[in-house]
Amino acid sequence: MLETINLTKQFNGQVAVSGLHLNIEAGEIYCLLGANGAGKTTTINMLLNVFPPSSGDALIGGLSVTENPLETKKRLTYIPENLALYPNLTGAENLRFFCGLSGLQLGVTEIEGHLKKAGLQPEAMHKRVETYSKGMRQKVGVALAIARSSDVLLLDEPTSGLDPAASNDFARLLELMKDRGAAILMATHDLFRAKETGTRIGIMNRGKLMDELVASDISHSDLEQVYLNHMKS
Amino acid sequence: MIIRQIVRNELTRLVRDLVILTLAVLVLGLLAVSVLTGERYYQQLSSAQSEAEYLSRIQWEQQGEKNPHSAAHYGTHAFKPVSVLMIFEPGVTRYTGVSLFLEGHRQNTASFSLAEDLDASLRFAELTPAFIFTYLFPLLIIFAGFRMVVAEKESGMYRFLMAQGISRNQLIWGKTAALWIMVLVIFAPFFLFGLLVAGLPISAEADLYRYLLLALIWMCYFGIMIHLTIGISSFARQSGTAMVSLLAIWMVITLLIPKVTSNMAASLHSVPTTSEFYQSVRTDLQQGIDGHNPFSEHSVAFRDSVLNAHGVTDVADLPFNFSGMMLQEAEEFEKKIYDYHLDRIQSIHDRQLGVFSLGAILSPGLSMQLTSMHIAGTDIHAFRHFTQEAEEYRIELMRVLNNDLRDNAVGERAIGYVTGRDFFEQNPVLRYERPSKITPSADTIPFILALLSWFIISAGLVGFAASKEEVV
Repeated sequence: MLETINLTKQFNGQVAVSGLHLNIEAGEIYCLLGANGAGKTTTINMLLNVFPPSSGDALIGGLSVTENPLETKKRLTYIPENLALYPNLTGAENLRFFCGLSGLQLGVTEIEGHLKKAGLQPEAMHKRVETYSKGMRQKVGVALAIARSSDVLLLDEPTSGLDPAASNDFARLLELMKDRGAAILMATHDLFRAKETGTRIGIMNRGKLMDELVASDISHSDLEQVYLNHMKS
Repeated sequence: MIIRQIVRNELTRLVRDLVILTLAVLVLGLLAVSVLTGERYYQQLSSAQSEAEYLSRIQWEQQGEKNPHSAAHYGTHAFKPVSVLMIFEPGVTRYTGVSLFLEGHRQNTASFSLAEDLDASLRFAELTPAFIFTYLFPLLIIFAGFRMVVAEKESGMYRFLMAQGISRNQLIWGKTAALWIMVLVIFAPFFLFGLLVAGLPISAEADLYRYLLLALIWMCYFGIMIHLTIGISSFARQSGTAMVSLLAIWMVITLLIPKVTSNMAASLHSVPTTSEFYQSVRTDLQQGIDGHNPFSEHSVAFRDSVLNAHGVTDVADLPFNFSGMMLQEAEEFEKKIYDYHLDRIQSIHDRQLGVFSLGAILSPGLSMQLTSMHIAGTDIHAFRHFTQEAEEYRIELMRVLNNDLRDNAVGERAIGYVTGRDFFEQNPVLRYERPSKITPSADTIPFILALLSWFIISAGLVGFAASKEEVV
């Protein structure tokens, strides 16, 4: 569903991502672990076609993101660390607007249904987003993914700054999306969340994919040790 | 479809922005007040003028038994009909006035200082729709639009929007359309209110046509401000930078350039003072016939030529009153002198307008003001048209008076000749009518072209911003 082939990005001769090969299938949560500057966000930006790769390619549903930017974006939902929503609109209005951009004209009941599935309290749905916590904003993002029935979710540090309960809620939502058949790529530096949520874990350092692990095959402590070893190398 | 979503979203957010909502209501309120006070001023002026015009004619006809040339000195007034469009764009009306005193031997004018008349800062204190549209409306556009694109970049929304599969082109043109709609929503009630308060649906067709053109010119100016606002917001990296840049542009195009242009026009092409003007006229008048001095060299020469032509040696032997003929001869000579000097003043004014054309190229605010005054018929060209018609009337009236003296003050009636009400009632009446068609003068075309060019270039700026790839 989501594939990168020798994906490389250089900025002024500096390598940000080097020869990245990923293949994430439907119903899979792939956690990309790495410190700040490892190349996780650059990878996501190339998948979003914010800038083109220096070489290699990225495919979503078999389509190149550089050759079919609009078509590939229709198949994915992107949730950044700080999901930007319009503060003087309600959660429901924000969702309706973003769905509208995808050509989805949803009624109030449908909007409320999607927000409910994403875990947003009914009393919060029609309050302005300026009153929302970060966790509530992330739920609107997930509701967008649900509404759009996205094949691919790109998440950039989505649980950063969330309290444990909210982080746990968010993990449950990812499970829900995974069960619906979405291929999920989550960039994070939260080892615990990666182990708990991910089906596979990739460790990046200095733009390179250093290791790939199956989450269920490794313990928390082993993951931490492997991660630290790669960071030192 | 996507643009419609963006427009609807922007409009919802604008309506919920208390600052913008307050500003919009304030501007609408000011517009309503300005229309109402303008209409009241127009009614007062119009009615006072009608009354004065009536009384002036009555006074002329009932001035009593009098020598016709005494009546010429008694004088009368010419009145320029007040345009209902002065409610919206008073132009230079308040400085030129709406009447002229007409008398023998002399062309009176309202003012010689065109630069003063056109100085935008002088108009600053007047609360008129033209003032609000020139100075305040652009500020509303700037406050509503300066953050529209740049804030999306600052908040991270820009990347999120791009990730939804929309293009920068759709985003920027959607924002532009939203700002256009906001302007139209505010302008439409004013337009209808002004239309009804001014009674334009039942007034002359030409006024309605001019009002529609005025609306078009204002919309063109607003369009320029909308495009500049979105363009700057698209290129800026921070909201503060966009705000400061747009306020600087506003100051330059509405205040600085008009003021500098006005000062440059006055200093490069200075107009003689009133005393200098009349001193020059007096000097030149001495070179020709003086209707009140039969012993001057030119008067004697004229008298001798008339006597020779009629084969007599004394004016008493002429079959007409020589004084009447000499006064008319002097009147025509004086007209030539006045025309010469007034033409010189006019050519200085034209050169000043040339400077204004340069200013108008740099400032859409200035070109909009000058164009709207022209369309409303309240500019210096409209006043010139009136003064020319008034002068033609004056010279015709003087001819009638002098010819009456020439033809009737003969023989026994020569001494102490007076005429009366029957004669004065038959004197011509000036029925001045403003040109019904708007014919852009050569001086106005550069302003219109400058405005259109600004519109196209500013729209091009938005197009360029929309097509420019940007990594945020």
